[in-house]
Parts: sequence; structure tokens; C-alpha cells
Amino acid sequence: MDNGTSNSASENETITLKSCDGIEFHIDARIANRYTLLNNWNGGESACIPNVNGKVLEKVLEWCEHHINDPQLNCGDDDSRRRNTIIEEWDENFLSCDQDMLFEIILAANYLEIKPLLDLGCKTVANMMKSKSPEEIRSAFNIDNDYTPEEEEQFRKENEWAEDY
Amino acid sequence: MVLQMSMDIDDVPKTDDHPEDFAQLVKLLEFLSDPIIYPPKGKMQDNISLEVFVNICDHLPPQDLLMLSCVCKNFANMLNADIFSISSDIWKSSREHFTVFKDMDPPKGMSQKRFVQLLNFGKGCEICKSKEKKVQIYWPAFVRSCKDCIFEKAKSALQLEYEHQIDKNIIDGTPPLVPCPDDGGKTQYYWLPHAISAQKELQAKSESDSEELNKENIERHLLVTRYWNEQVTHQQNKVQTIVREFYEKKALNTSDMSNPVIKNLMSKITINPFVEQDFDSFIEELKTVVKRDDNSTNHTEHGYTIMDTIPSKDVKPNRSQKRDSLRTHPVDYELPRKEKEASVPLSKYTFDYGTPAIRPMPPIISNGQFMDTSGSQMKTINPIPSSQMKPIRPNPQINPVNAPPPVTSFQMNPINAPMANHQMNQINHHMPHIPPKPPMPPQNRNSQLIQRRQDIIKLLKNVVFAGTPKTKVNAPFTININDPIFRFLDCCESFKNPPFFQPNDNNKYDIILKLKQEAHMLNDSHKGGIEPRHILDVRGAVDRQLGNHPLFKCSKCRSTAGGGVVKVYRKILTHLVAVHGIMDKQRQASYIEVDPKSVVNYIHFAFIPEIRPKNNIKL
Repeated sequence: MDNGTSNSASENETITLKSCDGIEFHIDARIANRYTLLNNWNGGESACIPNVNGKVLEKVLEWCEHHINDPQLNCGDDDSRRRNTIIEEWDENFLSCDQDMLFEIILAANYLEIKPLLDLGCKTVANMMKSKSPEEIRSAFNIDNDYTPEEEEQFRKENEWAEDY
Repeated sequence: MVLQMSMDIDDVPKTDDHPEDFAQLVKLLEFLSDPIIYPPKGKMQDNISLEVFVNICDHLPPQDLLMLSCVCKNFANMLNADIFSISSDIWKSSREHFTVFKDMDPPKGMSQKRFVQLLNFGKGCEICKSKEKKVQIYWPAFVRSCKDCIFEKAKSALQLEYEHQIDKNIIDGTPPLVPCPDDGGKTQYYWLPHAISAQKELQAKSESDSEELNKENIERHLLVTRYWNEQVTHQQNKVQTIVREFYEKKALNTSDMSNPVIKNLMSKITINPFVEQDFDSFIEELKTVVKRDDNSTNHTEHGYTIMDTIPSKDVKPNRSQKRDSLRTHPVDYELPRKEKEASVPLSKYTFDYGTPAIRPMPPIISNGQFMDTSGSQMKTINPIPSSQMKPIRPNPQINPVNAPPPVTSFQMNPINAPMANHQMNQINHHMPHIPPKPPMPPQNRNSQLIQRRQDIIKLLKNVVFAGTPKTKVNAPFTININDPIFRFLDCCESFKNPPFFQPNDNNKYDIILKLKQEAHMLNDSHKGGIEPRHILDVRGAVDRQLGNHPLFKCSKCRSTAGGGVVKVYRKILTHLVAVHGIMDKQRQASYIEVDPKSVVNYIHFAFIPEIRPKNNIKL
């Protein structure tokens, strides 16, 4: 079960997934086997994956398909996951979509428990946040500043975020 | 999730009794059951789940986490360990993964976040924000500060007592700052806010509780010291192993930084985050080692086992912090840019050479630096001060040429008035009134006064030492340390207003005889009255500012190894609590002894600071 190819499901077997807006996807059964939750949604004629729309699901499945032959990581292997800061070129291109889509993919990956994709997405977001001042992060992610100026000043002092950032 | 929710409805039978509640519940569940259609309306800050947020944070170094916590309230809350306990892990793992401070854990009571803030050496001094100066983390004040700023709030016992009116008992129960901000490490400094808050605490409590409070403080003190010592010892052991390894693989060429052996060593070098460090010197030292390596043949003879001879509890951090010698304070080396680009795995190294007590490689240290710093170790063992020692205040006796002007603001400052001043006033009425001499510029007058008094002390010392067989001093007579002169010297008129005399004069010792007479007179006139404490009393010595000099010893464990070593007063107190479990202040005092020989060596500290501007001396 370590590798998708050693799976009992035959190469041609497909399963059907339905997004919340009713779009059906026929995917390789090996993909679904890799990610248990995906497998759970399989088969039902009317079953659809709530919370994930067709556009996002398509992206997610595209990623799954591309990584179908990746070795599966142990869940507890937190360290190797983090140490690997390099993002593959394909992944980088894959995630160089607009920010909304990026977050949707992350949320969907989280929802569907596709850990490697979730990590990848989070890593991408983290890279976008690195070495930025709070103001820059806000504008990059369209985040409202809900601090009062006094609170902000306090934080500025506490966390030593200087103007030189 | 939806299924789970709908099941929950069945689990709430009581809602029937409250139809409006039930309606609300249904509404809520309907809302929750509605699939959220992405893209969600609203913003990332509202939609991001803790799980995803934690995952993002996993990939961020501590500095970015700090910035993130300033972005919006939601983020700040998610990074607040008081709200989500998992956040403490975020900070911790970020520190471990992205900084060199892997081995350290924050001390008890400090949050991981605060610890990360402290370790943010790149931000320079927390107080003046300067990035140019060398910064260091001070415990238990928990500040990252340069030396200039630390003294704004770090005060010596005397300053606390006289400038800030802090009770002496409180000072005894306040933990001193480590590392000691002062180079010599002789004067202990205390964090003013600690002392003030302790004072307030004491005032709030009744008198009977004050002892209790002091006990608590001492325990707290012990905890801090122990924590620090553990950390330092731990790191020193590690470094020792590395250095040993380095030594064994001496076929190294240090100029080649890509050498795999060096790389390996580098990656193992542990971090002491408490001191800011300098990588260049580290490289230089490694090179020196290799050069020496060729010459020194039998390094094992020097032994690596020296650390066994000093009990670890004696490893005081401040001893290793002497700035003037690179050898002995842990040095944090920041790579210059060029080296960063070179294939060195870590961007920041620390190389803790350990305290002199744990010296892994004696051959490295042969240029006098080692001796210099081992002196700091010796200071507490050997009562005789070496000329290399730095006295805590200007001591022209030791080095008259380079001595700073005798009257410094420090000496002028009334805060330095020791207890004896008070005693002096008490007995002043017994003294014949001597009309004051015509006024002269205070600065000039005082410097002359001090010079003359120092000459007196010097002579007095000679006289006392003349009695010991090994000294070459020729004095026409001797004085025992128990002579009243040591009790009343600061009250003797000839000391308060020393006459002019030539230190080279044949009759120079006459002044001592005169002082002796005066002291005897004072002694006689004081039978039955309140006497100033003798310098050999523990209290007397402390009152005369000798508390920080190694002339005290523990009378309880004289026989055991190391126990008879002369120590400074505060250390003895700690020792009594830690080793003998004596918490009682009264009893503690009875177990401390003063070493007469050491007193002789330090009498200049005891009596010279008495000098104050004329208007402070009530005649």
C-alpha cells in the first residue's frame, strides 16, 4: 500500500466523485485509495462532496493525478515534511493561481484530508508571508487591520517590528 | 460533519420544553449544515481554521510568527498560548527548526513566545534598540540588552539600599543578575523592578511574614540559579565533547571551511543564547588550535578531566562572562556574509568555551588570557589578590599609575556611605572637636584625602603582614587583626583627616601608631556602649562593603572538600541553604566565618569608600 502502483485496484478502474455543484469526475481508483476520505465519497450516484465546488475539486484531482506515483509519507514524519522547504516546479506552477483559489485548494485539501497537498499549500502561503511586515501581510492577503492604533503600537513595541523590515 | 450535527438533535431531548430554544437550535444547525460554497464570502482572516493556520505557521521562522501575530486579532489569538495551548508548540517548534537555539527551553514561567522575542538577537538591544552594540540576555531580568542599558535598572546592593531605599533583607532575597553585567563579576547586580516589587510585597505583609517572604525569595533565587547552572553545565559538557573530538581529529586544515570534519563539528556546536557572539574570533581560535596542535605533543597529559575537580554547582555563569577574554565567555558567532554564502550549514554558531573550571584544552590557552580568567576562579579560592585582578572600584594602591582620578562621582556619592557612617556619627561626640581647616576646592581636597587614607591603609597592611613569617615587609611593630584599630579606624580622627606625611619617610609608621592609640581610646570610651561592628564580624565585613569579597567561609563543612573554600558572602548564604538546608537567617549568620588574612587583603575596600565630600561628614 506504500505506493499507488502496488494497489489492488486495477489500472483501468475508475470511481466517480461529484462536487457540491453537481459536476462529476471520473478518477483513477488508485487516487481514491491513497486518500481514504476521497474513497468514502465514491460510488454513490447522488453522493457529492459538500463544501467543494467543481472548480476546486478539479484542481485538487489534477494534483492528485500528478502525484499518483509519489511515495506515501508516514503521518508521523513531521520533521521531513517541514525540512523539505523546496517546492517542486510543477507544484509551484500548479499553485501559482490566484489567492482565492489557493485558499480554496488548501481548505479543500484540509477537508478531504489530502495531507501532502495541504502542506504544499500552507508552505506556499508561508513563503508568501516570509520576511514581511504585518502591514505587508495584510495587504498581500487582504486582511483587515482590526487593531486600534494604540493596540498596534503596543504590538509594535512588543514584537520589535521595526521600520526596517 | 453534517451527519454528526443532525445526530446531535436527537441527543437534546429537553429542548421540547423550550420551543424558542429549539427553533434557534434548528436554525443554527441548518446554517451549519448548509454547504459552504467556495470561494467563501469574507476574508481569509475569518475563514482560516486553526488547523490550517498551524500548518502555515509550521513553515515560518519565529520572526515571521511575531509579525503574523501583529497582523490581526484572529491571528494573534491563534498564536496566543493562553488561548490555544497548541500555540506554545508552534513557537517552540519554529524556534527549534529555524533558529540555532535548539537546546534551550524557556525558564519556568516564561512563554515560548517571549523566549523567541528574547532570542531575537538580530533586533539588537531591547531597550535602546541599538544594533551596533553587543547584546546579551540577562537572567532573571529576562531582557536582551546592551551593557549601557542594563545599568539603568541593574543596581548594586548599595545603590538599592541608599538610592532606592530598599530593605537590606529584601536585597538578600533578591536573585542577582546572571551573567554579571560588570566585567569583574565581583559586584552583584540586582534588577531594580524585582527589588521594588519585593519591597511592596513585604510592605503589604505583616512583619511576622517577612521572614517567610524572604525564605520564598531565597527559594526562588535558588531555582533561577540552578536553572542557569544546569543549562551552562549541560552546554559546557557538550562543547567539551566537541572540542575533544576536534582535537582528536587534528589533521585539519582550518582555513578550508568546507572540510567535512569541520562542517560536522560546526553543526554540533551548541548554542548558548545568552551572549552575543562573534564568528571571526571563533575561526581565529580554531586556527590557533591547529597551529598549536603541531607543537604540543602530549595533550592528554594536561588532562581533560579537570572538570571533575570542580563541583558543578560551583560553576557560576558570571565567571565565564568576562568580556575581556574571549576564551572564557560563551561566544555566539555570527557568520560574516561571505561565509554565509559558503557552504556552511548554520548561519549562527555558538562556541562556548566553558568556564575556566571546565577547560577542555589547556594547550589552546597559553597566552596569558587563560591565566587572566582563571584568576576569576582563583579569586574565590585564594584570598590574596593578584595584580591582574580588577578591583570593583578604583584602587590606586594596586595600580597607582593607571588609577582613575581618586575622586569619582562614585565615591562622592552618598549612597556609598556604609553603615559605619552611622556608627561614626554615634561616637563622634566623644572626639575632641577639631576646627575645620580652611576650605579648599572639594575635588582637590577629596583626592588628597583619599590618597592619604590609601597610604595609611597601605601602611597598615604592611604592618599586619609584617607579623606573618613569609612576608618581607619590615615594620617596626605589628598589629593583630583583632586590634581595635579595625573596629574604629573609620572613626579615628587621624584617619578622617589624615595629616600630611611622606610614605617614604622613616617615621611613616608613626601615623599607624597614632591611629592605634586613637582606636584604643575610642574602644575604651565605648565599653558598654554600642560599638561599631568589627571588621571580622560577618555583619561588620558586610557593612564595610566586603560582602562581595572572598573572605567568608562556611564553618559547618570545613572538613569536607571544597567546603572550606573562602567564598563571598552571598554564595555562602546560598551554600548554607543548598548544602546544609539552613533557611533560618539567624542561624545562617552563626555559620559564616570571616577569614582574617583575607580581610587584610581587602581592607582597602573596606575603608577607602568611606570618603565623602566634606558636607557629608558631620563633624
